Amino acid sequence: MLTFLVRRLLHAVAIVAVATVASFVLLRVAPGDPLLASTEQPGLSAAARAELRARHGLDRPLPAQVAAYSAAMARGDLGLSIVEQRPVAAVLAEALPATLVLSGAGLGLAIIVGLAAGTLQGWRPHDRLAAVLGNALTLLYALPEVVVGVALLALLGLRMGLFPVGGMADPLVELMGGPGARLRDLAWHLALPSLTLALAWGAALARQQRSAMREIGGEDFVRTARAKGASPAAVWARHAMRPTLPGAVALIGTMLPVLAGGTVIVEMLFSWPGMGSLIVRGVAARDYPLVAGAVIVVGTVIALGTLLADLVVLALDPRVRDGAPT
Amino acid sequence: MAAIGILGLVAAAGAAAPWLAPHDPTVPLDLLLLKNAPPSGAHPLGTDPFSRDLLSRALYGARTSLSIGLLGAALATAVATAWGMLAGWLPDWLGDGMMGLVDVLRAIPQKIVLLATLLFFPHPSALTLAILLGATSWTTMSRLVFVQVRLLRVRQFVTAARALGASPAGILARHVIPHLAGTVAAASALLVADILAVEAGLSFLGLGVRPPDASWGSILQDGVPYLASAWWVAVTPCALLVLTVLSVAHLADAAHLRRHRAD
Repeated sequence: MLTFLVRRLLHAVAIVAVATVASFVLLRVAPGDPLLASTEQPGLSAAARAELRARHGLDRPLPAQVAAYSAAMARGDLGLSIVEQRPVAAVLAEALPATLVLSGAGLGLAIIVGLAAGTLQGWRPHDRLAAVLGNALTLLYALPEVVVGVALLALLGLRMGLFPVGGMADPLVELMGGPGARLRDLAWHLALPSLTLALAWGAALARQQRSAMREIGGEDFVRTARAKGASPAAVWARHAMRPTLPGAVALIGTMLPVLAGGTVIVEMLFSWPGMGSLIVRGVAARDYPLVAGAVIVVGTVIALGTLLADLVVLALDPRVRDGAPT
Repeated sequence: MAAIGILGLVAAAGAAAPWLAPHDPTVPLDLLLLKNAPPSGAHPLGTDPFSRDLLSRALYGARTSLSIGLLGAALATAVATAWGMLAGWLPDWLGDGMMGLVDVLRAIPQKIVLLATLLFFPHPSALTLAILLGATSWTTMSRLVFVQVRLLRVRQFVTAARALGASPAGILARHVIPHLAGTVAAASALLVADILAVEAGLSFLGLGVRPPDASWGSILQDGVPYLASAWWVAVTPCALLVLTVLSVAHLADAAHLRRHRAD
């Protein structure tokens, strides 16, 4: 158990380290001095420029600079955004919750749909409905999410007018509505973008759950439970479902990276004011500090997310807990 | 069979785009009268918001999108096979380290890496895009190759070859690579589909193939704002993407199945 924890912790630390170094490189390779537009001012004398560089540590060796940069990051100092003319940390802090809400809703929906479809298909292989559901999900899995999103937007949003096609809230409700109305409005706006994400992510889960369920269905302990006269529902709930959960959680864990950075296209398509839209805007405007900061935040969210998934697997799977090889 | 037919047709159309296209794909025909014109005899697929002929753009788009998909997948396959084979063949501690690195890289979303890299390419060419997409898509496949090589390494025919004095390179080439071919073929077909999808996404964001050049993603970008009034602009690239991606995925599945039956 300890080796498992240490290994996963190292993995998480490595992700943050890679993200930090990558964002440092982004800023270093970017035209101009990092973190400091003032050294590029034309009226500055060479001596004054050197002094400024020294004050900000830019004359020190590279490893020292990376260390200082990481320390600043850890304090939450991500520099100034060029387009927004505000601290990057503040801009990102506004966008992150929107993305987490969207991806959280998408993942929640994916888990419900994916697990249900996979379980049904694996437990009752000859069920018609299960087969149709599974095949539909497999088909959707292969499609580019931008196409799925455009189709949902065109059919459910524009054609049928069931859901709003863009943004996160109705301005009127946001201004005048009570908490309940605002929540309903948010869910309303979440429908199409989160469904797009769920259709893409749910299929992977459904596949894994289907094969896990099929395997369990042939196990001796399931046969024994049936033989001793337990009802099908009880066999399913008490014996069959439980062993498939760690695998599903592990897969959900591997999906977490997508949570923080995989919503770019959906956010742009549905004008969702989250990290994805922000990053695209930053790239289009060559806002290096903004993109670098976003890379760090995404990396950190991913590292925390994978770690969380590992802990859940640890809690669910006694084999991992007792140190069996995984 | 249908899948092969569709793919052949799309590839041929893309390859022959300069001869097949009735109009120049990048030149507006008549900004006043031909904006978002519905399909007609003169323009079988209609025109886009800039009054360009959609059929011509779709043909040239097939050329661009497919080249990026094929080239990117070839590149990713080469890197993935080399890295996975090396990691699988080298001593355990070294190979595990190499795969640890792959796992860390895999945790960072491809789209984020691509977007950050595209900061430095304001106007990426199709070749640049193919290289970037290939360079960011190889990790999952290298893990597949790694696992296979680790399993093959202890098989008796490999031990026998080693006992007979074959060089490591000779063993890899003669005894390991033939066993990998099936996995690699199926995985690289799926990579083509993946890269097509990612390229469409990037170009849809306006950061991949840049206007006025046509790729399926950039046509989609032109069409999405007019979904309500001129749906045919968005439908054309969507339909082509869906047909191509599903055909490729189907072929990959078929290859996978055949290999399983052979085993």
